[in-house]
Amino acid sequence: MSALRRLGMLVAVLVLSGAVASLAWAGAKKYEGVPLRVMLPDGWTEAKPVSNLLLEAGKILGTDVKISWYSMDELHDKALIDFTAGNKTWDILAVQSYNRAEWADMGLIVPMGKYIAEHPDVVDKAKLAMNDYYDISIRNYTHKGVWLGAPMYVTGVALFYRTDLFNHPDEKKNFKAKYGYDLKEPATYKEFRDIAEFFTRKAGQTLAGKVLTSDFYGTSHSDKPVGFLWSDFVNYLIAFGADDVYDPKTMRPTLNSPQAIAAGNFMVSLVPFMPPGHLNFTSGESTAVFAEGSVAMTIEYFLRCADMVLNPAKSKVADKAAFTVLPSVPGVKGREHAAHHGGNFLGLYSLSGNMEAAYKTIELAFSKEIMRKVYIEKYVPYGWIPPRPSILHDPEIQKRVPWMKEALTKLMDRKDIYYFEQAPLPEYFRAMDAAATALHKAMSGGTTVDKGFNEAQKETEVLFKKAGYIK
Amino acid sequence: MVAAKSPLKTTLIVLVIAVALLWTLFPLYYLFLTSVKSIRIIMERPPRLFVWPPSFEMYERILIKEHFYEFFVNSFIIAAGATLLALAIGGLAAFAFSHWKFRGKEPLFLVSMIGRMFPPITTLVPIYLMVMYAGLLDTHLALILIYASFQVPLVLLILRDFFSQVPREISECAYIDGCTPWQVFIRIILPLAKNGIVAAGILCFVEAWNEFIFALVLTSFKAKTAPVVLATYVENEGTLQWGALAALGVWTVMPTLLFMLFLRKFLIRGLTVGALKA
Amino acid sequence: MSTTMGKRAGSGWAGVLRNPTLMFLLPMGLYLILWRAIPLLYTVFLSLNDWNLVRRGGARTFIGLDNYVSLVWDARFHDSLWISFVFMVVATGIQTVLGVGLALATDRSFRGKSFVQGALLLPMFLTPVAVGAIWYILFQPSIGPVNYLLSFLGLGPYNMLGSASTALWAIVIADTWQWTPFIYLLVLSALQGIPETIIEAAQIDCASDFVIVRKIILPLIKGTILVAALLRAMEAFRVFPKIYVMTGGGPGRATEASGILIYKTAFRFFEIGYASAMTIIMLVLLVTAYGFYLNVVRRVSLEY
Repeated sequence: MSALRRLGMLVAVLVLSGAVASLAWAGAKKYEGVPLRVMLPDGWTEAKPVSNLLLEAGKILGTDVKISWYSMDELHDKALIDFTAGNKTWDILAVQSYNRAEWADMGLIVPMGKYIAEHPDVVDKAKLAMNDYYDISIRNYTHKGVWLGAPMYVTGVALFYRTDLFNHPDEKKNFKAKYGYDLKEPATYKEFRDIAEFFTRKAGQTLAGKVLTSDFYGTSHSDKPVGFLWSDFVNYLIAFGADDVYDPKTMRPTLNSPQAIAAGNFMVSLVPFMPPGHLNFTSGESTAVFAEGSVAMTIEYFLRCADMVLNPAKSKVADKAAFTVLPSVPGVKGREHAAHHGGNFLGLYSLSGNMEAAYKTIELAFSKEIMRKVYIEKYVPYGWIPPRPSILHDPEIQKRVPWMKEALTKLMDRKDIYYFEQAPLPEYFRAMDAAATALHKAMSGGTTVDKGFNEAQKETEVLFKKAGYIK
Repeated sequence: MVAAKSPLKTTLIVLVIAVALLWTLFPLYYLFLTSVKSIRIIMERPPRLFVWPPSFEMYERILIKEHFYEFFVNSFIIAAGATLLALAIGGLAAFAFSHWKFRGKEPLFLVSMIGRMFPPITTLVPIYLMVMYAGLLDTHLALILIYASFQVPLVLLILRDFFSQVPREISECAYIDGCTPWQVFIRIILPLAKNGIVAAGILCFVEAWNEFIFALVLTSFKAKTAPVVLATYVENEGTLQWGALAALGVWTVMPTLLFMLFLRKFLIRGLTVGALKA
Repeated sequence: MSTTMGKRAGSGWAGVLRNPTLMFLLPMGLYLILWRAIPLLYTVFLSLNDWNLVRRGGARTFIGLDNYVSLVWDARFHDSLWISFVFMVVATGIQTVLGVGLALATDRSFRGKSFVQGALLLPMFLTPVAVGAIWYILFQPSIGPVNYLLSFLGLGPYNMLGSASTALWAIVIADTWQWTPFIYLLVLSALQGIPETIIEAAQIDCASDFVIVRKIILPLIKGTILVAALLRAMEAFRVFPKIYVMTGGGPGRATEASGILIYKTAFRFFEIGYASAMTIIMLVLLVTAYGFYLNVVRRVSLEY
């Protein structure tokens, strides 16, 4: 090569690398110092990991991530008031699945799908990796066809039970004698009820070979009105074949449908087998009672149970608890193992002045690399379940989290679980309030499910009429 | 104060006091107990009434949280500021109500009380808008001003009663001697009603300290107060937080406890001074 | 009684500044107008609107008195008013009796007096949220110490918070625990203001303690007692955080006091207009009740 050409090439290389470097430098500095204000719910297992994700991403992008912690109730109320008054303080907030329809319709959040569609040049598809989410995660956080925001964890509810009781030879013998079939993981809700009845014992009676010093219960639920009770009840409601509050085809509420009443009666029938405080239990309490060793089975959020039941530092039954899918109601097609998914997602506050920086921070925070890094560093094995299948199937992770493989097989990767998301109607909470209050009253003996649900139906019909859904 | 004692009476009184103390202190003891139980035993049945060794993991958790002390300082500044402001405004008005007759006195009094009759939450939106347009969101000043407005009726009600217990003859003498109303207020009424003022001040402070909904809505970072932080532990589909809630509960009592211990000496002095009459 | 004091100063702005009555009343007047009256008027305005934050994109439409008409038929609202009322009367009544009794009992010199008086004041310093939480734990049927201790006496277990007939009383108990010190503090302060000379004179006349209390002490502090009770009642009607934490309004709607319902209507159902109307009705009822009550207070306390 001639000297001139070599020089020319050198210059070209220098110019090119300079251009690339300055582009990269410009890119990195683009969001430098931009303050991002985040509202997160304290006490939710997945909130701390997500806060770490955001902080990590902030470090890389240079954005100044400031997090303010609230209880979910406070967060909801504050977001509402701030938005109504036009306050621009926030950029990112956690949205509860109950409220997703309302907030999207109100315009409180900008659906992330909408933002992505409108700003394709900003989006880094590799980091976003929409194909690396479970189907239910996307479905649960989609409203009117638009994806709302990044899921903060996976998966929904599972049935946890005491292996020492289920495997005890005396118990197995007695169960078979009383009910005529083998004691095993309940496949139907009738079996679930039988097992709950079987294991409800008073102090002084024997359980698994030992004499009880205090009462023992077959199952426990979080029955505090309204949200806690509803989250537990909705599993039965859907499994028994009822609509989630209303029939989308006719837009009529169906709270007093025969299936809904059957589900309500089923739940009331479980009351004798639950600890007496259940009527005011929050999910955490209900789970804690199981972790303490007083209950045989419980249906709760898997993530929380991983944290409170499987973790030997927090649970007395860590070595004798196992999990499985929820039972079904035989004869109800298409609702097998119906399980409520629930959960929060991270959304973009619509009045934010830094939406691009906010979006990019979330995108980076939820990228596979950052998610995996934070998970491995801080939250294995009990602290979190990141929502990306690739991470959960990662052999390194599976080594660190002994129950992950089982959870994947039994819950996340199973295709025959009917995971459902909450009805996306703005009036949902109100209808839910009417039904849950009626159910609570029935469970405390103040009315019958039949009467209660019929009243709730009437109330909700008025509501729906006012909203213009029905005449 | 009451001298002659019979053994029966003494026993009765001692019994009453003992029961009252037990009733008051047991829940506090249990609060403290809950805050030092480790997560494993917190849901135990039957519940433990004594724990050894106490686990301070809950306190650790709270203290590790960022800016925790800052919330307490915020609460203190706001509560103290609101109390002083309310005492000043309410005190002036209470003097007028207790010592002078004027047209429309009773209706005006009733109208002033209206402020305490409906849940503050219902004026949340308009007050929020006012604060926002004044550019005072997330400031201590906003909460001081608002809390003072809640307390003024309280102060008015209490101090009117205490001021009216100061005999009129004393102030009449002062007027005859050529004192202005202002001087009468400062030099005569205030010292004689000291215990009432202290009582009203304590009540104002506690109320302002514990107020929650306006603090939640009007602050986000800089002026966030302790009760807002405390309420984050009240669960909503979240993880069990009883231990942390209890620990935080103990912490919120602590400063007011010290405050009250300190102030009680002042209270006793004030009370004995107030007992002296011309 | 100085009645001409206010009239002496003259008219105009200079007159205002020299008019002592106005000078003393003006700060309060202006302050309350700004921070209470104006927001209240806005709330009245809102009550005449249909404003649901979610429906139809949060649009607000003027509907006149429709909200009020709906409320006349709203049984849930009536129930909540009744619950608030019952709670107020029972809680205030118990707390007043206990507070006065305690004040009388401890208003004497004995060893450890300052400790006892201080300790008895403690509960009112706790955040209502914390009080709700601690009594929730205490009342828990399975893990709460109340049932545990009762079991030694062979009683219970009682599910105080889980049964519609007892839930409200459980909250009354928690409220009493927290707020009796309020009354106690005020009455104690008033007791300290009673001159020793009067008491001693009565004792020299060989009056029994009981008579002294009834004929001398109580009349002297009647004003304070009524004031304290009024304040407490106003607070008790607005009760919110305790119920929210302990029962969420349940079982069923047994503890759904007005405060809870209004909060739910505004923040969970997003019906701002309707919630405002509820507030105004509540206010009107209370103002009438308190006006009546204050009449009684005035007659008793100021004219002696």
